[in-house]
Amino acid sequence: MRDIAKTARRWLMVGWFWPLVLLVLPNCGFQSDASTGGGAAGPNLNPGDPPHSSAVFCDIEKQSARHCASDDEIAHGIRLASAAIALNVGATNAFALDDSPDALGRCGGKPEAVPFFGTFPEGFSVCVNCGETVNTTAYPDNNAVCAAQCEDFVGSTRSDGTFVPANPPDPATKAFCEQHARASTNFPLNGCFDNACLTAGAIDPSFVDPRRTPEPVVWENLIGVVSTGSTLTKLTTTNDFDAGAVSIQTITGADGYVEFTAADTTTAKIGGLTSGPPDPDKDPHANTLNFGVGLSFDGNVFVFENGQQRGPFGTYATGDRFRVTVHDRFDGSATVMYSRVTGTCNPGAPCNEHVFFTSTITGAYPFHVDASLFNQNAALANVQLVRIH
Amino acid sequence: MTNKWMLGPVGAVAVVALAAQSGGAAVTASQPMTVQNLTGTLRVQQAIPCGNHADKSTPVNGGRLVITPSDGVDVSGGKLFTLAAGSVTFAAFSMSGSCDGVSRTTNFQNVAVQLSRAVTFTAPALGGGAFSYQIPKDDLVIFQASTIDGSLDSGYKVPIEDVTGTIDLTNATVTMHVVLGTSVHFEGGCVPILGCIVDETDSGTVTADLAGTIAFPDSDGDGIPDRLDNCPFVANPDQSPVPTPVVIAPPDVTLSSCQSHAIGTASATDVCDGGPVTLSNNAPAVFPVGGSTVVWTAEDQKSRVATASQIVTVIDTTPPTFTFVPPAITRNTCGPVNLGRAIATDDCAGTPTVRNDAPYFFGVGTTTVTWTATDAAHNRSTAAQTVTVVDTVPPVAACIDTDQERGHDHDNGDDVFVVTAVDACSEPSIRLGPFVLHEGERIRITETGQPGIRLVPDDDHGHGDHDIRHFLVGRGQGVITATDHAGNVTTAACR
Repeated sequence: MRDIAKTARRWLMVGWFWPLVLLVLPNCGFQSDASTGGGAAGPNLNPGDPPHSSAVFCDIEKQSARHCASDDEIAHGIRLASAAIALNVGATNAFALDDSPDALGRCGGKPEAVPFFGTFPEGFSVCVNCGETVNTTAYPDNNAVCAAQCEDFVGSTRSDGTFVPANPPDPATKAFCEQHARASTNFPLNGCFDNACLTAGAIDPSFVDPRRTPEPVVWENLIGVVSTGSTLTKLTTTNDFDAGAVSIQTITGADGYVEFTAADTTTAKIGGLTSGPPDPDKDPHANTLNFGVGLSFDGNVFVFENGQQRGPFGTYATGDRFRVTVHDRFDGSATVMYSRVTGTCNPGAPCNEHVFFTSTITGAYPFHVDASLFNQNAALANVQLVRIH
Repeated sequence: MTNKWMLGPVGAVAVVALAAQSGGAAVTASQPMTVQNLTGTLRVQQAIPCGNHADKSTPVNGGRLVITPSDGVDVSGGKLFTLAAGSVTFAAFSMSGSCDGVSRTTNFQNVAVQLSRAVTFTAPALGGGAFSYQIPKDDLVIFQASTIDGSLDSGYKVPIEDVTGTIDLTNATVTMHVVLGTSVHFEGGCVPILGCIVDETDSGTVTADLAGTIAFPDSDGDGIPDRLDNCPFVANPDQSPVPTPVVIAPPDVTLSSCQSHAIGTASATDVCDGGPVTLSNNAPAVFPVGGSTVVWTAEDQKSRVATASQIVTVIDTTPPTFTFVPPAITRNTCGPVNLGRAIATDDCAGTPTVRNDAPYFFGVGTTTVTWTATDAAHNRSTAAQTVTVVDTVPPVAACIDTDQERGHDHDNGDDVFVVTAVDACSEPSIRLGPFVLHEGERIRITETGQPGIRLVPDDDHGHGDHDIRHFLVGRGQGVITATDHAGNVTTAACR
């Protein structure tokens, strides 16, 4: 009997604390009917056997909850396209703003609020036994895990407050969840964050989301330079923009940025973004770099766009950080902004960012990081990328 | 491109207002507060058979709540908050119960709850920065998990009461009161067909009372929350003053003109708050020759001001500029011309001197007059004015009877005349019939009855004036013609 009950507990939504006191009487037993009701089949998501100490983060949209955003929501909302940047600065909310042309069209030019069950952009944490759940026949990828979790949000509430998911879900719910539940921003499609959850299956309060940390740039097509981690340094002695490299990573859509640190003020270097995939880009010259922040050897800050110089925009000091940010225009192109980051900048917190120039031309997705270095030992240090990937 | 890169600062501003922009303003408006250092209890009260009750409390072990935005959104009657995430753990505990002399103990470990649905609520103000809240019970779903006697038990619960509590932004505290319901069906002493001695469903509650402290956003991670930090974007745990805004003047510059403002642009940043910074300078409209100090002033939105200086040196190599040059002049005769007056200004203080190289006498044709303006630094500029003379005025000619001048009146048709002709532009040629005369020449004309003009061969006819040419002319033909170089002709009768 107890074995049956244990099995039932695992698969039936029996609720918490109902077997608080189990009396041992002759032929004793207990039933779960009070909690689950007859015919309940338990949750749709099978997290596997314990421990459920791994987390999958899901963006699970609330069904029929989209609405035109209010002014307050616009003021405090996070754009869907800004998810990666919001992760980086630790911004969070229970909804996102969809400012795509379709959404703007539905809302008279204002964005649409998209409520989620969990937080955006981190996502709702689903605690599972990763090895028994993710990338299995039942759940080929984390989108399937998220869809099952989505289905578990639809059900009925018993008089004692126990929430019982509908299993199987009604077709409309199933279809909605397949469309509107997916692995959240920058969460791997096949994999988990191990030890993000407590053994019993709730998120560990001390868990720190690694997605907050910017991604180091990995360089390829190195010409006249050497990379040390994400830092790129010119080796050759020519005083020309004839050395550089490109990132293997690309920004394929949505908002993102590349950031680098000035290692000195006596060498000239340009770092930024160039449209197109990185592989054909084997020209390190500055005039093929689409959108770059240029730091001159006399300490001035410029913008370089396809070889055209703009500025100066003040001077710079060793350790100053500069960003080139793309802002999705939803037509395959992006607005490009150039900024300087001052003060302390911690993952999960906003930085003091000063936009000093917004390009008058747009760039086309995808973008890759591009660098062009002038003097020997000129360096772009600690080059980092924030993007949705 | 490389050459362009070599160039120094370019661009010019006299007074500049720069609006610094903080990137991602929309996302930073959604910075959450984290409620941590949670304390409190979880109390389990459960009815059990034999009319007994089990009652057990266990302390909070840890956890955190995430509420966004950190300061709420001001709405009518209070503030709007979103309980975005929450996870709380409780200490392991055990519960015992007995009925009819039989007792049983159940052990609970890894007891945790997690918010399953973010919920937005309005919290009315209590005063002093504190707010109360009451979240409708049906708006919350809580995932609960624990290990009971070694077996996992988990599921979702909706509270049976509205969730209540307070958010005190001044004292940075949050409380929360949550009540969940339980319902347990007990059976015991069961005999097939006859049924069970105990067969009842008993209800209970699980009450969580939580309190925690708010960790407000701390962007620079210096331990001082942004709302209290004197410089939220610069780590200064001792709250030592941080100079802000920071303004960097453009490099010192040498200009070639007093009116140039190619002095570059300063950069200014509100390093503490990232707000907009207004930038201005005191550059004069016209720089003096030599060195000047330009002070750049940056003011942020909290009225904090910082300045930086730049030396601007003017070495005047810019020539004056003509603002007026008299128009071209066309005359019909030669002679002096009133040209008018050219006017020139200089980029630096002082009036340039203006001179021209015009001749006193303008002859036939086009003469270019060059005006030259010279400033105090000896920079010169020139401008041109043309004067064109097209001679249309005939010479003035005269044939004067010298006898009449002397008061003689022979009236015999034989007189001595002096011929003269003058022209403003050229020396005219003088003729009497086919004969060329000289300016001022004395000639004798004798009128005859024979038409035509004939020169009498060297014959003084007793006049004793061999140096005077003697012409015999028909009646009325004693007329000289004077023709200038432009072909203008005039005549004068000798009588």
